[in-house]
Amino acid sequence: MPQLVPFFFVNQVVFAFAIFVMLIYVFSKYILPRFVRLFATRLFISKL
Amino acid sequence: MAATRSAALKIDWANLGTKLGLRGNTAAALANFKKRNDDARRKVQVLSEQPQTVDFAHYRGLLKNQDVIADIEKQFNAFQPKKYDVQRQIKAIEAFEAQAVKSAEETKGKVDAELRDLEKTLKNIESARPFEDLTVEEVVAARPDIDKRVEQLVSKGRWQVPGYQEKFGNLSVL
Repeated sequence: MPQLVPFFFVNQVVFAFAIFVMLIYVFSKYILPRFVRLFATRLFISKL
Repeated sequence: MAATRSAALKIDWANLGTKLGLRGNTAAALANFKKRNDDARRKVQVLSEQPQTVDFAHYRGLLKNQDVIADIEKQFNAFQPKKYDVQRQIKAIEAFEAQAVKSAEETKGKVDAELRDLEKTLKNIESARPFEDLTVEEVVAARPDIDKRVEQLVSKGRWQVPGYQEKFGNLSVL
């Protein structure tokens, strides 16, 4: 059972945090602003 | 003097305004200038038609007091029309002309630049594609302020564009 490997849960926690932080960074920096930009562009075009 | 007069006579005053496309201030100034020219010429004409000699012998036979006539004749002969120095005025006119030409050329340059700009805009409009074919990148390239606004919104923690939901509705399932 992998749970019995020493520091298995420490490994879980560390990787969970690392992935969490990375996801937040990527989403807030790259993915979500793209949507905001798309919406802003749509709004701009519709107002022309 | 004769040369300038003949030049003034050669000008087709009636068609000058329409030919050069003059308008407003310039046309009024030109009409004013022509009126002054005509007035001056008429005045010279009227004055040169008047008699310029005095028959002193006639008056000498008419009046007893010969001293008065001799005195007047002396003064008449001594009279010299005052000469005006028009050189300064001509210089001022030349300076004004240079200024006018300079400003006209400046205006021409400005108008040319504006025309080029307008032509560019016209070409842009003619070659524009329909909205359906546009990509976000192209729109943002044309209007960089969209990117600036997005940056502003995101830095404030707003992930929605104000006015978007009112226009396009909310597709959120939650």
